[in-house]
Amino acid sequence: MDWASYPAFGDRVLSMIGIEIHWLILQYVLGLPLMAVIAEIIWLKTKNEKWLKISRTLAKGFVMVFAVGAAMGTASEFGLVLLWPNLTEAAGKYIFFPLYAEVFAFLMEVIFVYMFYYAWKKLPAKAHIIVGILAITGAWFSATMIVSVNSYMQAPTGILIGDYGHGYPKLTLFVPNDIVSALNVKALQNAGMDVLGKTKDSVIVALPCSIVRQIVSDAFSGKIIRDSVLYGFLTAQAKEKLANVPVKVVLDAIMWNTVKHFGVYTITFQSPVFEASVLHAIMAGITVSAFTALAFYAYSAYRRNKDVAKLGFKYSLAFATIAIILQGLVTGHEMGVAVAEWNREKFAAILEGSPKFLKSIELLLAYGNPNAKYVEYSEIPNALRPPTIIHTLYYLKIGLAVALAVTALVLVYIVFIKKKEPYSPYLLALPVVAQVVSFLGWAVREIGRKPWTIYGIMDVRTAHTMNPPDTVTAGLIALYFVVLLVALGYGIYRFLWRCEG
Amino acid sequence: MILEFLAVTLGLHVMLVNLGIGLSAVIPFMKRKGEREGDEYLLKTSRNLMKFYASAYALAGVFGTAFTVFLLSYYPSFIGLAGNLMFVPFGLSILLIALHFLSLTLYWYGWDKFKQETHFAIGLVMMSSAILIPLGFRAVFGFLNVPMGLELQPKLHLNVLKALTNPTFLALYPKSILASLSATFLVLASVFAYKYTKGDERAYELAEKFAKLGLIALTLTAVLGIAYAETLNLYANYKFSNAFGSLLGIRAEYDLSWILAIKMTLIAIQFAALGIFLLRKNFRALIPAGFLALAGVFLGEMLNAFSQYPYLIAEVSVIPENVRVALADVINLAKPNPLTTMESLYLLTLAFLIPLLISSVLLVYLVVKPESS
Repeated sequence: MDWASYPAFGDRVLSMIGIEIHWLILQYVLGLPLMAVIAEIIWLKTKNEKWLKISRTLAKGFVMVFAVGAAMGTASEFGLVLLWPNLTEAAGKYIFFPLYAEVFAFLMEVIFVYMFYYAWKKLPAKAHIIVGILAITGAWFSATMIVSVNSYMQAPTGILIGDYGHGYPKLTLFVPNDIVSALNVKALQNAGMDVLGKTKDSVIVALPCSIVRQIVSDAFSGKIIRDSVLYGFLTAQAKEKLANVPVKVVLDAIMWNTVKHFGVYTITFQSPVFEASVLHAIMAGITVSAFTALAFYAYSAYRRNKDVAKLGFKYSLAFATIAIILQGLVTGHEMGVAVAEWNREKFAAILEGSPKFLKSIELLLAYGNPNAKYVEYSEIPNALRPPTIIHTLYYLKIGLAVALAVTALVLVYIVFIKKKEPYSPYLLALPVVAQVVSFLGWAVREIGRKPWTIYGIMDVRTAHTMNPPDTVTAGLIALYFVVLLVALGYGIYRFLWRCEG
Repeated sequence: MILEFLAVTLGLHVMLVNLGIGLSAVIPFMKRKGEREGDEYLLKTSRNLMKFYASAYALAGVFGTAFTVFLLSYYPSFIGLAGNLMFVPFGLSILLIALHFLSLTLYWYGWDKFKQETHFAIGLVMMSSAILIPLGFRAVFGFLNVPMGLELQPKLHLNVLKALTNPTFLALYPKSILASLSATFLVLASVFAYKYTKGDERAYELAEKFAKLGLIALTLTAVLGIAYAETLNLYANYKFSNAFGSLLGIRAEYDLSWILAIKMTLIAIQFAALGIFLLRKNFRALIPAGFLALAGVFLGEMLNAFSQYPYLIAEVSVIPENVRVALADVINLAKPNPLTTMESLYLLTLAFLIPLLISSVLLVYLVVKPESS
């Protein structure tokens, strides 16, 4: 299916641009503080002033971009509220906690990132390193909270995967007893609902996501029960009594109860794709940061042939090589396994049209068997099919990531084994490629979730605002953000790259 | 505790933003004057102020985000409603926030690296964006006073042109900007008065200049404050009654006039301090004025945000009845998200917020502290 054919194409692209600019910048706050703190620790141990200079330069790098990155985060937050208000409302209502905790992470990040930069000669070295560790903690804490919400959107806690013919995917819900008494359980079972068990105050059910999707859509479009799909699942008595009750009242009661049973504070962290996602995201930040530092020092050494730049280059190269190997072989692999298991439609779209040998490799990596049986794209019902463009995006990402890893290994061979100095302005391409790989990773993840905004719960149309901006306005806003990004890039080049270089 | 958390984050955000707006206007002109007159003192002072401003504005941004996220968690349906209606005012502010942080970054890191004229021009962008950011947010506050521009046909939407003619917004926005300038001038006057008492001779003229500017801005703010109160009296009487209540002897549903009484007392003390300083050159009298000005800003914001309690929209009578009934719970501060009413959440919030607030004070201290070597 064509990516543009899903609802709200313009607003999806606008959101993508805003969030990508935020992510593009904030990756440096995930990676550079770690590099800066390690450099400072090495300085403390060796008393070699070059390490201190490297640490300060890296700190200047992330402090310069941090303010604009944070402002873009605020812009993205408001963008979500304005373009996808129903998604925001649902997140605030049912899975608010990680967003709430992210406030503390953000505050921690701001305080200690700036303190790390401004307090250099104002605190003892060890205290300064602790400040740096707190800055890293703030940034990673923040990423963990946001990625947990995103993980819930990819695979909500309680999602059940199975045969499409039996109504899967289904969502586990804890339906309060007073609502159960109003439901025609037989009709629901005929529609694919399974009763999984009981608690003191609820009945646990697995409800087909096609029904969940419709109830959520009815609720957020302000329907009353009489006009909703829910009406057909009520007892005759309840139909009479509850006809004029807003669907949202019922949905809220079921969701709140479900969240309470899973854990108000922990529900998003129980998403089956959470662990792989958060590790993959943080490692992406470290990888991009390391390749950017590598390019900066290569260019610097090429222009001025300073020892500190050469040392910085070696340090960044070691960091980049370790990071991309871990990213590819460990976190990336775990992410792929999670996608194959929990996002079968996405996995099928990735494999759709792949040559047989590639499919075998993917199946071997995902299931440990090159001939493993998987759901093919053609087997997926139309209403659940993601866009096939993710096939191209995925292989482009993998191809570029492999090229990046090979380049890093070749550089390691030249620098550490052959003891040569491969400084070249061409290496400036590496951070660009790393950023493109990182972007493509998110593109596959987010585009591949369509037609859902929250998998199995809320579709794109339901999440979207009732008053969207027109195409020209959306285009101008996107252009505006791109211009700001270019201006920031120029500023970095002018005041960091050229001055420090 | 919910309202207390909202109050603390909003109050801190607004206090820091007020300082930010004022400093973004002061710094480029102070630096420009220093460059033209070759005055090293002004150049150094403007740079120190900029250092403080950059960190204070970052904190302002965080507290603003904290307020929004707290509001989303406690009142998610209200945020959902606002998101569906407020694309233009919020969108305008977002674009300006991004521009402001970029210009701030370029201005700070480009200090002595751009040509003087270019640097000044970036400073003007920084100042203009800071002054314009509240335009959208104050338009939303105006809407919360009187929901003008809310239309039902062809679907529920905001008629932006009608919303901009909201009389409470027309008075509130200029009042807010002048209050920012007034508070900043008084803070600077206090700081320079303090420095003068510690032996910094050049601080004398700056203390005097900012005291005079502060007096003008404070007077104009007071005039616009009266105008704003009058628009509330005419168009959002419920809120006006709660704000003025027993002070004017009128019946209030939730009488918050004690906040107004304290705020007016603080303003009176600020006028007195300015008067004593300008007439008798008593520098010590001026020192507390800045702190009182910031406290006044905090209280004013509390009064403005919560005097429509328990509603988020003050004048609900202009909303058609069927919509008003449907929105009754959505705009009711007394009906928060039930998942957020747990004691453990409040304890957790305090456990994070208190040390982080102390750390933010430490940050500001470390930023303004001179380097040891």
